[in-house]
Parts: sequence; C-alpha cells; structure tokens
Amino acid sequence: MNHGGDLPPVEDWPSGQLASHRLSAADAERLIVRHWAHPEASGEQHRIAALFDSVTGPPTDEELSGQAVAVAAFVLATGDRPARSRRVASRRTMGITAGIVAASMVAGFSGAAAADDLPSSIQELAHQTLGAPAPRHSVPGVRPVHVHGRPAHLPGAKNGKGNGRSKGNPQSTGRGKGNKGTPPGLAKSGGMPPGQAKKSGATPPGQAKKSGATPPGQAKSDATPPGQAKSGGTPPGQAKKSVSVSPGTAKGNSSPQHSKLLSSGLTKRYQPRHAAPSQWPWSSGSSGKTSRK
Amino acid sequence: MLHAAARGDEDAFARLWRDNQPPLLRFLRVLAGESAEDVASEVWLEVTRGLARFRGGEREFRAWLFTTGRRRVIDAHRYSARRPATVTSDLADLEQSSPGDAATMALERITTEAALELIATLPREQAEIVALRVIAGLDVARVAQIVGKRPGAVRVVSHRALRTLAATLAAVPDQEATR
Repeated sequence: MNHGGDLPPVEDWPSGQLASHRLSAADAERLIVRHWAHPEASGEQHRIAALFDSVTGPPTDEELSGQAVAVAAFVLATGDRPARSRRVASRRTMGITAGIVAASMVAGFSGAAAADDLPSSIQELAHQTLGAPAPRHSVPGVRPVHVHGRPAHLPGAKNGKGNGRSKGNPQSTGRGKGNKGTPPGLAKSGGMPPGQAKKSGATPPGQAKKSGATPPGQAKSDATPPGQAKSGGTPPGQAKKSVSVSPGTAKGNSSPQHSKLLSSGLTKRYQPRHAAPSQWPWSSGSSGKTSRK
Repeated sequence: MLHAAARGDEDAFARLWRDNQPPLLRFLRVLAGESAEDVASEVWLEVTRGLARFRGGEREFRAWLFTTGRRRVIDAHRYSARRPATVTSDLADLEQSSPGDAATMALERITTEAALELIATLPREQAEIVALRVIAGLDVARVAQIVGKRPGAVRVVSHRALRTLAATLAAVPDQEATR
C-alpha cells in the first residue's frame, strides 16, 4: 500500500504505528462485531478486543442501582393509563347505552304511534309530524279524518294490510283492492268482519264466497251489488285500487264538488260495470259500463 | 417482554431496563461524561411515555433508545453551549484525562470505566460510532441511520477509530518505559 513519499519505510515505524497500519478494514469489523483478534494479529488488536470486551461486560451493581427509581417512574407515568382507559370505556359504554335507550324509545314511540296506541293528543301530534295514523275517533260511527293525503288508520286494519279491497284511503267505502283501511262491510280476505266475503271456505248466510252469487252488501269477485264495485268499476262511495276516495267520492278526487257531482249522477266514470243500471239509484240508465282509465 | 412493558407490565419494564440501561449508560458516559446518569434518566422517561405507541422488536427498541439518548446529549451540549457553566471547583478535578492515562489504566486493569474513558478520547464522531457499534451492538445500517451517514462512511469512520485506538494502545509501553 502506497502511503506517499513522505512516509518512512515500514521497518522504521514505531510499533504502535505499525500495528495501526496493519489493522485492515476486515480486522476492524471483526474486532467490532466479535471482539476477537486473530491469534497471529498484533498485540494492539488483542488489546482492542479486550477493551471492547470490557465495555460490553456484565453490568455492575452501580449501573443497576437506579432500577427501583426507573420502575417507579414507569409506574407513575403509566399507572393512570388503565384508569384513563376505564374512564374512556365507561364513557363510551354510557354513550352506547344512551343511544340504545334513545333508539328504543323512538322505536317504541313510532310503533305505538303506528299501532294507534298513543293517547289521542299525542297520536294526533305523531300523525301530523311523523305521518302516523290519525287517532281513533272516540265517537263510534264517525270515521277518521284524512289529513294531508296520508292514509288514516281504521278499525280492522292490521299491519298496514287491510281486509278490504280499498287501498290508500281510510275513508273509502269502496271495494277497491287495497291494503289500507277498509270499512266494515267491504273485505277481501283476512280479518274479515261480519258481513264480508272471504275467498274460500264455508260461507255463512249473508256472506259471499269466492264464486257464486253475492248477496247485496257483500263482496265478491264477479257480481257486484249496488253500492259495491269490482276491481274495475268503482261506484260512488267505494274506492278503487290505490285511490283515495272520500265517502261519496270517486277515484283520486276527494273534493266536495266532485263528490257532489258523483252523488248527483252526472258522471259515468265510476259506475259499476256489471250491475244492472236499473239497480243503480244514481244511474241514468243509459250506460251499463264504466269507463276505465 | 417489550409488548408486555408497553401494556404497562412493571416486571417486563424492569427486565427491559436491566437489559438496556448498562449499555445506554456506557454509551452516554462516552458522549456526555459525568452527566450520563441524568441524561439516561431523561431518556427512560421519554421512552416510558412513548412505549405504548412503540412498534417493533428488540433491535428496533434498542435503536430507538440510543437514538433518544444521542438526541438528549446533543440537546445537553447545545444547552451548555448557550449557558456556559461557571467553574467554582478545583480545575484539576475537571481536567480531562489524556489518552495516555486512559490507555494506561485500561491496560493495567481493563475496567469498564477505563475502557470507556479511552474510547471517549477519540474524536467525537469516531467515539460516537464506535460506541453505537460496540456498546449498543447496532449494525452498520442502523448506526448510519442514527448518525445520518451512509453505511460506507460509518465503516470508514469505524476503521479509522480502531486504528487510532490501536496506535494509542501501542504507545502505552513506550510511555511506561520513559517514566
């Protein structure tokens, strides 16, 4: 290795300089990593190995004397961590519990409002704000008022599926196929009050079966007595499918004028299709068919 | 052990401290001298506060520990540079030992203290790298990361430091002979 012309020959170097000169990079790495010098290496390398052994030797008691203080500091620094975690967890649990309780209350209130089990004033409030059914009227025979186009709850309606054929209008007296409030006397299936038809089974006197003659005042799929409609035609006072009809009114129009018009027989639109025109008290007798739209 | 300590286990932390405190203290004695224990206490406090967030194994923890110690030493040096201490005691007590004296002590009775003093006589950069590699037992890559140098530069500095140490140790018999 050429160190330049200024350096004296290697033989003239002092022992220390010679030893350091002989220390190669591999020797240095070996000394650092393994603290080991080759047996034929210079004495300086062995001294360095001994030096590194001493600095990596076992700990003295003095060095470990601060353990108690360090652990105490550790306990102080981390001791409140579980308590803090408990506080956070407790707060979180309280929040979750409060949320569940609030959700339960809302669900219960909504359910009660939907079932019309609330006091009338609260039910009215729920009806106006949440769209819940209107409160049952305390006076028998008086139908609930339909407000804002929302379907009102009628006796006999269950789970939103009416037992009549009227749909959408709780005030409907028609037989239109529907699942909303149907007044007694007009029914299709399920939960049928007396005087209403059932799809199959024994038909008591005064009630209709699916096919066959249908006495007046009862529903059937084919023959429709006066005052009742089939799926197509809807006489005055009866509702058709998904149509809001007020008493004495027809499909989709609940205005008093239209109701008056219907009751006066000036429209043919809602005349029943199959009933004899002569049986219709409002019929003009000129047409036995109902125009459907 | 490390994860248990991070969860707040006192025994695990005690074992962690016993394993790492001696090399940390020796490393700090090379760099910070007499204030090594104070710096070590600050380092452990910082480690305690950040232990719950620490992710890694034993080697990563050791690297983090010595990195923290090195930063503390640098901070202490900056602080002392801004506010120079007033010397009130005997100057002789504050004199640094020469490399020859440290080498003599290391050769006569190679104690840990004497060996550390001998390493501390190296230039700061060399002493720091030798301490990190030998005392902390970190590899070249981690040392390079800690000191902000390339691994090749770390190897060169290490080699240079060992040559200096070898020269120092080789000169001791001559000094003893001249007495």
